[in-house]
Amino acid sequence: MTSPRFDELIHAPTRLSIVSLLAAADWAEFRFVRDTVGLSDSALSKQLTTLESAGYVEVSKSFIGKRPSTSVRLTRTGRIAFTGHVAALQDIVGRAGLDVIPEA
Amino acid sequence: MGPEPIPPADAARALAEVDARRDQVVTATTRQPAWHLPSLGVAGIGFVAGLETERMWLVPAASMVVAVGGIAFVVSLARRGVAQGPSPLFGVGDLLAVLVALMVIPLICGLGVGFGLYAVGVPVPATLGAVAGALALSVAGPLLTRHLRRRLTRLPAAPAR
Repeated sequence: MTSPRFDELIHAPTRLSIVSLLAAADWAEFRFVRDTVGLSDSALSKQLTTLESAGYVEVSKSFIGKRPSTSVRLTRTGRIAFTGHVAALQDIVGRAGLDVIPEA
Repeated sequence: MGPEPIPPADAARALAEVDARRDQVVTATTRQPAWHLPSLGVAGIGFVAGLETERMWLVPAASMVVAVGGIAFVVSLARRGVAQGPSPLFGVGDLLAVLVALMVIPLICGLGVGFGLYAVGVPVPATLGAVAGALALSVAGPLLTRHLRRRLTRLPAAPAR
């Protein structure tokens, strides 16, 4: 059972986008996250550093042939924090009696 | 109970954002080039035609199509960046759906048409059967993708409480 726990760190709009993306995947390439969320390299790096300091993400650097590759994944701590945050959001919406309809 | 940390409307928008990002990952991890499955179908036709008509050069040519297509597919994935989809995707049901769509249906179509045409004396029945199998693959593939996307986007962002 997931305990709802509102997480201020995750809730910041840009970090929510990043963490939501990572939560839907086992791992993601840095380029994929950057291009999908629409950030510059430095802006994404800054957000990932913040999330990494909290223990929410893990950043791995490797080489594919000669091409450097950076991949990112949510840690177990990050997934627990994310699911708790989503549960808290659902609780807030539920108590207000709203229907959550994803935007078209 | 204390005040809510954010207004309900903001919470609803945040949940919509979570859903939208999940949909993006689902789309990215289930997308494949439109030419990929048809190229496999064409290669299958070439392989069968080569054996049936004893034009053996078609067999390695068909193998090259599969190899080149596979490489091009991987390159297209690498260029656009990659996300590895969620592990819950490949449950037994999903694996069965993949096998049925990409193997069973094309095989049944191909063998059924091939044997049927052979029975009535149509020339090159196996090749024509392979054509039917390739067409079935071209149809079943996108349907499978649509099914997997629908299934993935129905997965809850947080487990039900």
